[in-house]
Amino acid sequence: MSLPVSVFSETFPAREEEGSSGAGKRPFIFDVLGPDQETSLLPEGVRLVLKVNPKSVGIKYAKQIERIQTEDGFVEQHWGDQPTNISMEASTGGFMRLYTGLTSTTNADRYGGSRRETLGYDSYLDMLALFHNNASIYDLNGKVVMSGILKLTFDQGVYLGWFEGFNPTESADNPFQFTMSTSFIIKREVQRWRTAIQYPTVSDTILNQPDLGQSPV
Amino acid sequence: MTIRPDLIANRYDGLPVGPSLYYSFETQQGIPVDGSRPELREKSPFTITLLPPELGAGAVSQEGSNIDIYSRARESLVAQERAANAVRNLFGASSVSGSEGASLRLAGLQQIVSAGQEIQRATANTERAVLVDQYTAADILYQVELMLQVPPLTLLINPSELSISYTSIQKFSDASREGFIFDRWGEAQPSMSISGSTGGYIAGLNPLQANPLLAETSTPTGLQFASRPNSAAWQNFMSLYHFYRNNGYIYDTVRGSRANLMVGAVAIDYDGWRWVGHFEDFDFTESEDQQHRMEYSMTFTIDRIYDNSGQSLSVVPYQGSSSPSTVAARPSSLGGGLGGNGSPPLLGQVPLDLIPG
Repeated sequence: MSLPVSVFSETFPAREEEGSSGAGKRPFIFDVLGPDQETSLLPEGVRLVLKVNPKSVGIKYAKQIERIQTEDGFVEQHWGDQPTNISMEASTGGFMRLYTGLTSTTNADRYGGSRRETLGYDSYLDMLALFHNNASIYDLNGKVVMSGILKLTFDQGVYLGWFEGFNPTESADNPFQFTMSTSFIIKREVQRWRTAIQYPTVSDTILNQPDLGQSPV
Repeated sequence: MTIRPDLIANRYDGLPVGPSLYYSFETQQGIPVDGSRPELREKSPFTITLLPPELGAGAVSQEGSNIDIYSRARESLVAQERAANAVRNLFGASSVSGSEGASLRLAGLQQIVSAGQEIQRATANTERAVLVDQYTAADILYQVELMLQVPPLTLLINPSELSISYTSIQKFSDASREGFIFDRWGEAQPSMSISGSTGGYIAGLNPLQANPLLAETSTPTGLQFASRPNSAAWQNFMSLYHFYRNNGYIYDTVRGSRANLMVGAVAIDYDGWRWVGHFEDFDFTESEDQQHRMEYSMTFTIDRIYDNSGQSLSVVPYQGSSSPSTVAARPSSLGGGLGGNGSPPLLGQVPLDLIPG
């Protein structure tokens, strides 16, 4: 029995590859958490993984310090950290359609299909939906009644915050794709760092020296 | 040689542009030549439509005079006429049938607004007292009728860059002892930035004016700056400027004041989306680097967004435009997927579409 062949493969087609598979792949994962800021609102096993990782991610940290000049010098007031800001530049990836290849056709009524039916465009719609949602709980009239929080995971870090802006651009300089820039403000950050290596001591090294079978001279 | 209706220079004649612009038309010399590729335009048309004012959400009739329903009614002439009549009825006007009836309606309203025909009918002082209101009502009705009748504008060349800026209205800067407080009020109106270029200024010689015995033509021809007024590229661009000036407003054309009588809207159709809103600004630059064309940029603030594409779950080959029967079999069902085995894979991340927003 032959396995189905995937015509268009994604960068992270299976969950197993999203971890540290050793392939150097670093997934960019979004989750929507509820007002308790812990429980995911998405169905079990469903997260938004960017099909194409951002081409740049900039994290901006800043302290909130006020410095007031007095006759005897400066008085500094330290208020802690300002909210962290993450800016991302990303692309949808090419609008690649079966039997057609890269396409920019939008007139579906006339041509029986459009670039909407591509994985690239789909990733744009996913991001747009995520921005509109922004972990807010809406009432029937579309008003925000409660706020959850978005969870962004990449590298070793987990960042919880909200979108501030989303700016998709279609340009003749970047055909068959959209470029997207977003601004994300961070409330909380969780990092996972490695422990220190347990280096062997000198005595450990001597004791554990393998017997090389050297004959006495 | 046939004259394309979308290349008629005074196609939008009569559309009000506000009190600070006056325009008139002069006789077209030569023939406007569209140097763009119609095939590309057909594949991705960028179309701008004027929408008449809404009279409140409660005023939507059974036929639907809602601007979105009205706009989507462009699918057929009958549906368009029905929707246009629904708008007319909302404004107190009777229905109109056919293009001839629409032209007569427009001419009649124009007579009232510009020639004072209604005054002749006044027989009593009480009737005269309401004449001003009648003028205003006719002025509104005339412009609504114009909006219903003017064809949409499709750019000959799509913009070279289109960017939408979505912005949250929220605050995360009020500090407390436990950290910052997050306030969210929703989203700001998205702002669309559009920039592009006109086509080259190309005009041809009218065969009726051509004299093969003369070495010189009577009008500028070919690609050159002198061809600009006669060129399709420039006229299409001026139509865009015309739309910018109109902006869906119902102007006070009787007195020429700056008090707009009503405010309609402008709709941009592209990529299966319909963005309804208003132009904010419009810039164009003439430069020695581009003597035979012009670059422009504009900003459009969006009031509403409609996704008219429908949900696509399967991918089938493009259908040729020459085969309408196959076009009708658009992949709205799951029947014709990859390999035609009747069980196409879902290529979209459907669960995320379910996120409310």
